[in-house]
Amino acid sequence: VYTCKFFLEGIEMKRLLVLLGVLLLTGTGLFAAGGQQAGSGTQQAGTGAKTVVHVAHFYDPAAGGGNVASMNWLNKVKDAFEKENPNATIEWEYQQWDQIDVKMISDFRSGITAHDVTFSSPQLFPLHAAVGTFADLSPFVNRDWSPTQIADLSWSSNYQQGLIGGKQIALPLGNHARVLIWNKDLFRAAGLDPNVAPKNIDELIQFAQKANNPSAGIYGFGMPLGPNRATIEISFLTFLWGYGGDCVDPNTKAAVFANDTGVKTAQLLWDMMNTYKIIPPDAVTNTFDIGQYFTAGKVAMAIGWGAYYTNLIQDNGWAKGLLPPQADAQLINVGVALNPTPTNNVFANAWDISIYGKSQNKELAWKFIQDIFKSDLSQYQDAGLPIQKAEWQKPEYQTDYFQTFYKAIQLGKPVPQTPYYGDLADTISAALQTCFQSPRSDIQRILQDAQQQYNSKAR
Amino acid sequence: MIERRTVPYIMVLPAIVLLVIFLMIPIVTGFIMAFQHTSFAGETSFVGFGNFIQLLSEGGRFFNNLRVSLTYVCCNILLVIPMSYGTALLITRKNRFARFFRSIYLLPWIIAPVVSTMMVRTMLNGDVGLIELILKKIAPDHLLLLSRGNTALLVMILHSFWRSFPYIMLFLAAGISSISDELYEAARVDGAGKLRCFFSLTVPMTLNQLGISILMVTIWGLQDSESVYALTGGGPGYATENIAVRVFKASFVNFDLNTGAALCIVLILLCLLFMFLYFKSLMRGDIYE
Repeated sequence: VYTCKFFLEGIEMKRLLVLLGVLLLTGTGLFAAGGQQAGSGTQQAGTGAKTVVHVAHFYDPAAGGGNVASMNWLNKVKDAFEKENPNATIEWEYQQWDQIDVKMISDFRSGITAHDVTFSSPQLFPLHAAVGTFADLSPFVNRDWSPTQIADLSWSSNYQQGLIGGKQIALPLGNHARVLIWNKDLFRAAGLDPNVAPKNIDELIQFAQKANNPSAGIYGFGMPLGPNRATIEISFLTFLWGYGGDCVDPNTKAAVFANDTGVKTAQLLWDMMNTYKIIPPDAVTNTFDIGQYFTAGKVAMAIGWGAYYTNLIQDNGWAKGLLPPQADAQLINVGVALNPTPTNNVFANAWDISIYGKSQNKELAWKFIQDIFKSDLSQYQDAGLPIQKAEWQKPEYQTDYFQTFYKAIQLGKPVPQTPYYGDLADTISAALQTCFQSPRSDIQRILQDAQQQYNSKAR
Repeated sequence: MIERRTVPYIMVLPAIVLLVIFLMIPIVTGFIMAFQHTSFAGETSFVGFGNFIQLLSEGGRFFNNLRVSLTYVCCNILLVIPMSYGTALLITRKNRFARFFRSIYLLPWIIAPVVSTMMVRTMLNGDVGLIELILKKIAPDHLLLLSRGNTALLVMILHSFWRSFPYIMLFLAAGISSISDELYEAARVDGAGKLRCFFSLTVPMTLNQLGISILMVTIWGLQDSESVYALTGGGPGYATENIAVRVFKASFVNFDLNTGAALCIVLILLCLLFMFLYFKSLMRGDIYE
C-alpha cells in the first residue's frame, strides 16, 4: 500500500482509470486476436482433414544470419513434403537449441504426444535411449533405403552415434569435427615455418612458446577451458584420448578420469595454462570464444576449430573459395592439421533428426525425414560438412582444408557413452577449473574427489 | 439466495483454487519427489532420505553450494539495504531533482535479469569487454574478474546489488514518505536534531519496511538462478554455484529431478528459516493488525 501510494503520488484517479481501461481493452483485444489466429490454424487442419506433422527445430528467423538460411531450407523441405503428401501439413515448433533435447525428454515422460520430428544432439543419445524419447528408425531405414544409400551415410562416426542398443534413434544431417588451425603470420613472426604444423604434443608446446607474446596480447595456443561442456569435448578429451585414456569405464560405466592418464592430461593442461602460460587467461571463463580469438590474431594456434568457423577466416581475407566450397579454394594466412596427439582423435558430432517416441504420425514423420535427405543439404548451414560420402568425391572438397576435416571425421569419436554425460561433463570441467586455481600437486586429489563425487551417486 | 456471511468465502474461492493448482500441488509433488528415485524410464521407488544423504556425502559440493548461497545473500543485504535506505532518504526530500532520480534509479530494475547479465558478461569479456579493457590499461597483468572464484563471486554480488537496489529503494522511500511531517515538526519543537530525528523517528517508523526489504533481498538471493547461471554458469569450478543454480543444473540440464527436488526442499527450509528470524527479530506485530 505504501509503495503504491508513493508511486502513484501526483497521479489523478481519473487518468489512472483511463490508463487501466486502455490496458484492459488492449490486453483483451490482443488475447482474442491471438486465439483467433491459433483457432484458424486448427480449423484449417481440421476441416481440410489434413494430418499435422509437428517438427521441432531451433531456428529463429528473427535472429537473422544462419537462422534465416536454415529456416529457408526447412521451408523448402516442407513445400516438397506437402506437395507429395497433400493430406498432410507441417507445423513448426520452435525450441531453444540447448533445450530441445530436454524438452523432448520431459514431454515424453509427461505423456505428451504432440511432437513428431525433432532435431537432436548426439551427446544426449544415451540419455534419450534410456528414456525412450525417440522411435527406432531401423525398420524405416531398412525398408526404404538401399544398402548403397545406407553406406553413403554410415561411414561417418556420427551415424554410428545414433545407433544405440541396436536401435537407430537418430540420423545425422551433417558432420562436425574439429581440427588444429594456425596463423601463418604469427608463425612467421615467431621464426617458425608457416607451412609446418606441430606433429606431437611436445612440438605443440614448443611452437606455442615461440609464438607466445602476452605483453602484445598474443598467446601461443588457444582452447576452451571454461565452465561449460566445450572444456571436456574440445580440450580434455582430445589429450585424454591422445594418451589412450577415457573418462568412463566401458563395462562398469563408472568414471575413471582420475586415473594416471586423466591426471597426466590435467597436468598437461595445467602446465599449458600456468607453467608455460601459452593459453589466454580468459580461456577459463565462459566468455571465451576460440573463433573470435583466433580471427582477432590473439592466438597463434588453436584446437577445436570447426568448419562452422570457416566464414570467419574467409571474411578476414585469410582464405578464399571455401564458402561455398570451390575446387580452387586457397588458404592464405592459415593452415589446418589434425590434432597433434598420438591418436589424432577428435570429438565429432552433428545435428541429428529423430522421430519422437510418442508420435502419432510416425509414417509421415519418416516421409518428412526422407524429404530432408532428398533435399540439398548443402543449403542447411548448421549441417556442417557433408554427411553423404559421395559428396566428398566432388572436386570442391579435395582441397587441403576440407580433406583435413574429412580425415578428422573418420577419426571422430563421440563423448563418453553414458546417460549421465551432462553430470560427467559438468563434474570434469569444474574439477579442471579448480585444478587451474590450485597448486599442481593438488591435481590428483582434486580429480579423485570429483570422481568420487560423481561415482558416489547411484547410477 | 446466498447468505451474507458466505459471500467472502465465495469471493476468495477462485484465488484458493488457483493457489492449490499452481502452488500447493507442485510443492507437494516436489516434496514427494525429494524422497523418491526415478529411473530414466520413469520407474519410481521410495528412497526415504536417500537424496539428502547423497547430497551430504558427495564430498563438499553441497556445502559449497550452501556457502555460496549464504555469502551471496549476506553480502547483498549488507550492500543493498544501507545504500537503498540512504538513497531513499535522498529521493524523498522535497526538491525538484527527486522525481527525476526516482525514475533514473528504477532503470536497472526494469531491465530483464538475463539482459542485464549479458550486458555485464560482455563488459567483462577478456577480449573486448569495456571493464576488462579499462583494467588492462590500469594494470596490464590484472586478474580477469570472471577467471577466479572470489572475483567472480564479487561480480555476481555487485550485479545482484545493482539490480535489486532500485526496487528496495522505492519500497523504503514509500515507507519514509508515509511518516507524517507533523511528527518531525513536533520532534524539532522538542529540540531534536537531524540525527536524533533519523534514529528516533525515521528508523523506528520504517522498521517494518526494512524487515520486509531484508526478507525480499534474502529470498531473491536464495532463489537467484537465472542471472548467476547466465553470468558465470556456476564457475570457475563450483566457486559461484549456489543452491538455486544447482537446482537448475540438476533438474533441467542433467534431468536429475529427484536431486533437484531435494535441493528445492533445502532452499525452502532456508527461506523459512530466514523468514522466521526476521519476523521474530525485526517486525512489529501491528503490521498484521
